[in-house]
Amino acid sequence: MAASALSLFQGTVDVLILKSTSSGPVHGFAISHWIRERTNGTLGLQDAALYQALHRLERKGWLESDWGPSDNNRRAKFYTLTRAGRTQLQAQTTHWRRYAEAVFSVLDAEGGVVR
Amino acid sequence: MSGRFRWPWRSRPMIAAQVDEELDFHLTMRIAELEREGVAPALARQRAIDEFGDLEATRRSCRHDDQSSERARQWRDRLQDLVSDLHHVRRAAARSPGLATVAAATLAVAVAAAATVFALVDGVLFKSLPYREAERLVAVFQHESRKDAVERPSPANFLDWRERTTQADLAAAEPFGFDLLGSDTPIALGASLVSGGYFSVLGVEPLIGRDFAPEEFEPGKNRVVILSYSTWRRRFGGRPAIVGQTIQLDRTGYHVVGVLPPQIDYPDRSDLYAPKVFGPEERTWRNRTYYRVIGRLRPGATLGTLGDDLGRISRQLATEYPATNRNVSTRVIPVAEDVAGRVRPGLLLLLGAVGLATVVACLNVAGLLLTRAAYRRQEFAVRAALGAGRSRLVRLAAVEGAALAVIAGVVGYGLALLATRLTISLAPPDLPRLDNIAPDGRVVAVLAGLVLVTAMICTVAPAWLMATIDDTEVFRARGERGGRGALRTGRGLVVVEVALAVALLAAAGLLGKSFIRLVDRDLGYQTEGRMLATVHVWDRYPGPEHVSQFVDRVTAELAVTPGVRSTAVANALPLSAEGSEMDPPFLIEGQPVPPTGEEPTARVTIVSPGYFSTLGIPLRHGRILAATDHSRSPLVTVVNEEMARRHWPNENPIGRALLQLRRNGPPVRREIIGVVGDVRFGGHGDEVLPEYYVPLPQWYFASLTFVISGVEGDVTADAIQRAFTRADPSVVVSNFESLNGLLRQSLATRRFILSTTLAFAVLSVIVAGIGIYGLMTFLVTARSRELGIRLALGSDGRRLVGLIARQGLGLAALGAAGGIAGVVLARPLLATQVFGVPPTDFQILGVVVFGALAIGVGASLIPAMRAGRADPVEVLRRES
Repeated sequence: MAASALSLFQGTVDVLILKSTSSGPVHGFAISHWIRERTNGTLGLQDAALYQALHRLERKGWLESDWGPSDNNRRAKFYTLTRAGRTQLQAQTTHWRRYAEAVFSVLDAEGGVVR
Repeated sequence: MSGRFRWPWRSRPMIAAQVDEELDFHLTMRIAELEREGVAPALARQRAIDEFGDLEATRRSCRHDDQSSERARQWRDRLQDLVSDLHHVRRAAARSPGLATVAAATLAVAVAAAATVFALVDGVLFKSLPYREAERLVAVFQHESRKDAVERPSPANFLDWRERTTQADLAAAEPFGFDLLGSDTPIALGASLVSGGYFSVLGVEPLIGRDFAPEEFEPGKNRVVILSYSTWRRRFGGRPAIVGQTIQLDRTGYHVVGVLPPQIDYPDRSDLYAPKVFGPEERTWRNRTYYRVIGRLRPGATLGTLGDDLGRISRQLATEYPATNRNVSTRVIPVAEDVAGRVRPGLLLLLGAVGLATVVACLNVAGLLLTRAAYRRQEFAVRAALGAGRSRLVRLAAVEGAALAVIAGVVGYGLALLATRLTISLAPPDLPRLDNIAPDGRVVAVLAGLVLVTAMICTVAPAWLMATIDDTEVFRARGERGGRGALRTGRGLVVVEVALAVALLAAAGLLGKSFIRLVDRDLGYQTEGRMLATVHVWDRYPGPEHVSQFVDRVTAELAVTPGVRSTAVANALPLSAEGSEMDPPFLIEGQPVPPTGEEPTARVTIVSPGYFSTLGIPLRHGRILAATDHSRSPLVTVVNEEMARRHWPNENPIGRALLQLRRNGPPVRREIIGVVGDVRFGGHGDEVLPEYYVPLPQWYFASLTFVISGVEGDVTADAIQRAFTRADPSVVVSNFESLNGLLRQSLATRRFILSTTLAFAVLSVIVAGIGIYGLMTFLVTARSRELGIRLALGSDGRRLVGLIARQGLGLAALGAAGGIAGVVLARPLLATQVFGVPPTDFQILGVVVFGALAIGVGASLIPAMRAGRADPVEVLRRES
């Protein structure tokens, strides 16, 4: 794990997982791989946290799971976004966007607070 | 059955294994990836594990989450099953709406009836009385063995008991009357003069104010009263300030010291209470029996020890006062029994009736469901073969029963609320403690139990049937869809139903017949158009002559009152009084003198000359009392036929005489001048007793009851009061009633129990009829193939009808026999309510049995005719 990896808030893990399952059934390893690739390992998402989150989200009813063959024909557990999960994803995405925009609008301003 | 594929439920080990497998897959994939990136295989595994983070914590967390999602899923599945079961039940009900309606309605009516009657019986019999530790409160009576009568105690006996017993604190109340003055017209109030400590014995504390103080039982200090709750509310507007004020009773000022809580109506309903001061003369009275005596058991004492103790005292008194107490013993009765005792057997009968009706209804519903389940046997077998779990099928039946029970319970409870209200308005006025009747929490609890038991009966039977299905056997025996076991059970249920219904109907019939017998008995007097008005003249008229003059004035005033035909007066009238309280013993002149204490007594009625003609009591011999029998003329009496029969058998009593015994002084000789017809004093239920009548001017009595013959409705209470006011402005009519009304009241409890029992009996018979109909319909449908073959082979349709109808008849006959056996077993209970008819009256039993058989044939006739009319080709085509 890269030393520069940023630590993550729990809510962030959830929204990333929801996003990664949004285009079809996918197993835990693929999610882990995908997030690592998309962020070039910037985000320090531990696999332990990933799997715990997957099961937590399934309990909440945002994900549902099913067993199926993986690419190499091994039995793997695939996760799919439920209707409730999709609603949640949209809500959290909007939230994150507004949050980030708010932070950027401050950071992008010229100079600091003038006394 | 939900129509959607569903994962089987996962166990804990399965969940654990799946989590392991998932994590293992991840590590395997990552190791392979690392190896592809050039990491040495030996290092790759360790690196993957390190990189993963806390593997064990993840394992635990995932298992935990999965287990809770699994539990949630299982509940969701169950709910879904229940919903789909309910849908299934609804569809099944929609397929045979008649059956579902009959089953639900039968149960609902049964539940309503049971809840109502239970509320009634609970309210009257079982609810605790509003007195502290009511189970330690007793009523004490004295028993006179010569008359074999339970009597109210006399003052002297009460005082001796109170002084000598160690087992209980005793107190007494004397019924009394006051006129409350202060408004335009005086108001007559019923009062109780109570002995010291009365309210602490009763176990009641005043709501406001205080109890009587000990010194208030001394002469001259007793001008204090405690008001009943209802009098306080009605007469004094419920103002607490009334306590401490003075009210005018009989022109004397009485200080109000307290108000009682509501619903204190034992031993008598009383408007107010005042302290009783025993006069020196009253303390010696042993044969005047007019007190109500109550007692509270002291710590450690029981009903038995008190009874023994009072028995010992009675024997002492019998030796000390043989003239009066030779034959007197005591009776101790728990207060609850005293309150409810009179109506208890009737109410228990009612409870029995509704219990039987409920059982019949439940059996019927069980039978209907069972036969239908048998009919659907093949359907279930097919479902089972297609993979419906057996437990699911059983559960389906259970859901069906539970749904039925819930509907029946809710609808039945609603009906019970209505019925309870109706019952209170219809119930006879002499049922005690009616205000307590409402289907309260405990009634609802019993109701819930009832519904649950019903649900059990309805579900266990079909479930048990399902469990015994053998698929292959069912498919092989396609033609005979009815299981023989189910059929036998169905037949058994119907037979039991008929038996219970027959027993109930027979009981109702016996009650009805005895009621008719009872009201057929001649009262010996007329009630039609007869009214009575009671006044108390207490201290207004000191002697018999003054009373006579007052009566003459009133009679003259009443004579000119519109609608009045004739008027007479007596100390007590039939139907309105418990009887005279002072029946002195007497001797028969010219006959051997019996031993002291064994002299005969008889009811004495003090009457004015017009009494016999006004009440329509016929003269048999001699003459009746006349105006010439006044206070200075020779003392005379008129006896009734029973008295003449008993004391002058085979003799003419006219010209003979009785010698009334007195405590102080020589006996009073009264010559018999006439014999009149017998009367049943208390109504149709009373036996004829020896009685004699004495003229009003020859005996003082302070409470007068006028009997007025006239046109009911024309003669009003107001008109009567005006006539009395013209005769004496201070006299108040305390009671105005029609004898017809009193007669109805005297029969009200019997009539109520009779009509209710009859209603339940008819209900049960109808339900049993439905049961037979249901079973026969099922039989005909189940055997339609066989019947079709018979028809096809040339069997006569009419013979088939006969075949089916004979089966219905057989079931009814078997049931009827059982019912008759039940009646024979219930004879002791019936004997308490049945009058003049043996509990095994052949006429009634015959009619009931005939009715049962007719219903058996009738109920099976419709399905039988359907079978007989069937087209064999059609039947066989449908079956194959």
